[in-house]
Amino acid sequence: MHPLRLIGNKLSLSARLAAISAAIGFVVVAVAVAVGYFALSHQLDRRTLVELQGKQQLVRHLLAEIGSAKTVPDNAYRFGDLLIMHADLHLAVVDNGNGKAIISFSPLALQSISCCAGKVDGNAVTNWRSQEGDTFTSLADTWTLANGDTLRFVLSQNRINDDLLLQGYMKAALIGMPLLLGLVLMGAWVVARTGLAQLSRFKKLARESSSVSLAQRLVPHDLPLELRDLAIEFNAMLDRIDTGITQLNQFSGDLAHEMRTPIGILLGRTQVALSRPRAADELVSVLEADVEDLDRLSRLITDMLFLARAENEAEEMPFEPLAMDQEAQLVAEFLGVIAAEREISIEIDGTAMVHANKILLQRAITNLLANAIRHAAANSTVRIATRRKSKAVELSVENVGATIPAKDLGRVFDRFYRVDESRVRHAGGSGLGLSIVKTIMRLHGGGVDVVSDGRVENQGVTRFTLSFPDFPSTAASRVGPVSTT
Amino acid sequence: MKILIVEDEKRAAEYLRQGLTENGFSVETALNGTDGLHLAMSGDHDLVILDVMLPGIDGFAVLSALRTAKQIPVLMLTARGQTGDKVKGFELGADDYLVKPFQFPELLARVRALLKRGQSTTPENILRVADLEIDQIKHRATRTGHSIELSAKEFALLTLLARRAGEVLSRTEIASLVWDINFDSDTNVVEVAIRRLRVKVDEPFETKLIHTVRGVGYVLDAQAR
Repeated sequence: MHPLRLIGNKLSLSARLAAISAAIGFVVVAVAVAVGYFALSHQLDRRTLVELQGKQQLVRHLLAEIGSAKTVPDNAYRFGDLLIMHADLHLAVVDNGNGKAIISFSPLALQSISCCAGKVDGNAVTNWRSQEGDTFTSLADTWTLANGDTLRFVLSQNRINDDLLLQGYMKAALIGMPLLLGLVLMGAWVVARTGLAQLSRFKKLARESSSVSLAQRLVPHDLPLELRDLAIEFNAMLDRIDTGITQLNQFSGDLAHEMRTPIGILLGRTQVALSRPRAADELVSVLEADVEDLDRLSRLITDMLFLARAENEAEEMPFEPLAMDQEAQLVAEFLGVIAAEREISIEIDGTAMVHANKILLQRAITNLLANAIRHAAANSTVRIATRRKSKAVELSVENVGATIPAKDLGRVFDRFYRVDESRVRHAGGSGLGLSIVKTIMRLHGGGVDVVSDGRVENQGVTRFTLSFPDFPSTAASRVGPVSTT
Repeated sequence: MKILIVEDEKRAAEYLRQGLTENGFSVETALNGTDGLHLAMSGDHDLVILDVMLPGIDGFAVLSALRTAKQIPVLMLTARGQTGDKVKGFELGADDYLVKPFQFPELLARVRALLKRGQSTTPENILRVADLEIDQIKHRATRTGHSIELSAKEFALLTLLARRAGEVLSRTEIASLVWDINFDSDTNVVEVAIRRLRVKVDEPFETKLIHTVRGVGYVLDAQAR
């Protein structure tokens, strides 16, 4: 990992915000100081140049008046006048022929001659350092006198005051900047901490939430705007987890219960059988009963696996166009056997095509129809109707008989949920039939719904409706193996 | 008839061996793919029952190696109920495929069907089991000359049992062959249908032909069970 990131991850958010603010502050202040320094130094250079150029004009003027090199020393006082009140200004006039100083007013003026040897353009300045260590800016110029003599002169400005000014500026900046940054850092840290203090509520809630206690929630309207949405989402997440865990707990409890009962019976029966010597036929009947229970358990597990893995397995299941009424007919013929036992007749009405997996569709219809037959009043008719609606294809299974209480309607699709515990179990239902229907419908992108309308003494019509997405559109929306028959 | 079982789960191999032996087959078992392939290549088996999940070389590898040399029928077994495996197995030349957990009678039926496949079976018009006679063309069943009135599905059920007389058929198999319901329906339809068939076929007569093998299925047999 990148070292900076490592550090970043270890710092608190407030510290990080403060550090970032300080870093930005540092850059801003550094740039400001640098720009200031540059501007000031530039301004000082300009001032010096202007001054030197002013003096240069005066020197030229004097030289023009003097007219010959020989008379220059006699006029030295006139040059000296130029320098009055300018302690930092030095002038040396040099014979351009032998390079010797004709006049100079200070040791520095002599030094300046060598520094600017060869510079003749009259505008360029040279910065140099004297033997004493001061900085000078010099301007050298060549002038031809009226008699043809050529002279060179060097004007030098001591920059000590400018240097001191710049040094003072830098000193102030270097002392001031850390102080300023410290202030920014502290300010940012305080602001960030105050702002983020609200997050501690999330922390507290997260710490207190466990699979046992998920009841607490945040109060979003107490929070700053930025955190309000987070709090709402946080609460919603807790709701979902809560529901999931509740269902899972219930489900594993139910599953354990569903399995424990037959396993207990199996174990008990087999132990009793083994507890004393028995005739072969007695043992055989025990084994036969065991096989039946084991078969039921095996089926239960298969169904559980189907529910748990349906999404994965659906990938492999071929979907094809099917006539729902024909599939209903096939199932009705099969279940007609048990319907006839109770003198219940089955009517199938309507026709509609659907894009579905054959086995799953048959299974869904079987579960609904078996349910309907189980709960239909004797001598009644169970009706299956298929129809195409504007945006869906539907199949409904309807029976007359005891209705489902309104409070149970929402739960009939839950795993192991039985409206009437004893009755359904007796009839051989695993308690998973409707969950399987719901899962099958989900795999088809559809759904299942139930209405139960009790008119007189809980007798009435109960209708389960499977709704599939509209036929032609489902073919296009589903990716996967499609076989046509 | 000699069968080779290649199955790494020892207890499974053991009960399969016992079950098949007791049904008149001579059985050899191999507990891994290498041994299995060796035995299959060198032996004179009539059928191989081959598990897909094997240590070392897996069932698919055994199958494709075997197919380079022999055309012996192969029944594949797998714990995975995935169509992909099934398709792969068939592509490699498997003759049938059974998903674990399966019921033993189902396996037995598949084994018998595979062994019969090679033999020419001229469909008989009239099936006879003891005093039961089924005329498949006229769709009529009689016992000791007395006509039995049957619905279409009842007739199909009786015909199925008679055609495979002596063989125990599971409820799932019956539901599939008579009603074309190819999944475990969790209903007692077959039970009820058999009960109703018995009322017509067995009740009026001294000799009972339809027998329940509890926990397994049903069989039509002249001998009492």
